[in-house]
Amino acid sequence: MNFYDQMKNKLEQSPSRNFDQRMHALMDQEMALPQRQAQGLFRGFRLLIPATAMLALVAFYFHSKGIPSGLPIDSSPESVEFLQTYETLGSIEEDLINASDEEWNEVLAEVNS
Amino acid sequence: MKLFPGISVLSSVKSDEEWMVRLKANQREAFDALYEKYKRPIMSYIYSMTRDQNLSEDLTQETFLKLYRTRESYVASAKFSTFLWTIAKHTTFDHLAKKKELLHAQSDAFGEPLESKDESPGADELMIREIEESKVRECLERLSPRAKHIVALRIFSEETYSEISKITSETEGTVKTILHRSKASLVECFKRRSK
Repeated sequence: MNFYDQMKNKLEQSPSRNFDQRMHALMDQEMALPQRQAQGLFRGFRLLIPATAMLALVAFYFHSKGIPSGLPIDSSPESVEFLQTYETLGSIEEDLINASDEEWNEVLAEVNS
Repeated sequence: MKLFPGISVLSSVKSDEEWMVRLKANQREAFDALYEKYKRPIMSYIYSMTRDQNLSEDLTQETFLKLYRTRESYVASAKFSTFLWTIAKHTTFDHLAKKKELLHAQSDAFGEPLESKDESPGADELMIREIEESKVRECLERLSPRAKHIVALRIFSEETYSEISKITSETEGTVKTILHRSKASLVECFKRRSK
């Protein structure tokens, strides 16, 4: 046994009784960490999916209603009147787009008279 | 009671490097095997640097946690023990630096004057066997922090000069010189204490 081995025999320390248990617990915690992080991420996605679906539904609802942004959409008499006017104008506009030259001339004559 | 029942009898067959590769694959058994093998020398080394039982246990646990956290940076071709001892050294030095206990003693490597000439190794060994642990520790404490660190690594890591030089970032020649002169200082100190 050489000089340093002799010193080692004299100086080597023994850990306290609960040292291994503490290390064991620390490692359990450490190795569980990525799993917990992954679970947290999954939980985040689980919340994100219904929120996105809800937003999509709302967007689809307004899109299908054909209400342009910025127009009043409540049920007040003014809003109802406005929407009816808008629909009437819409149908007139459609008629004009599909109108023949003769029909156009009739409309213009009516406007000028 | 066996604390790590996962370690099989076959554990001893595997090299540290093989265990480390398994640890990189997140195998708990690999960690337990390496921990069982190195916990005592690492703790003894840290104790010799801090002289505090509770602190040396905490820093030993921190060393092994860091080993696990940095497992991805281990290169399979590198020697595992050098990797682990380097982590232990940094963990200890970081703590001592925070407490400002780490002395910069580059020029003053030895705490005691060198008086002894080389003697037969057998006589030194016999002397250590007869001397009390506290006195051996006192003599170690008389070395400068730099020399004490290198001697502690030599005692507990059992690494070669080359590996110690990698861990300490000293040249191999410096390591040899410091160990040679420290041994002479220690022998001289033991002689005085045993009288």
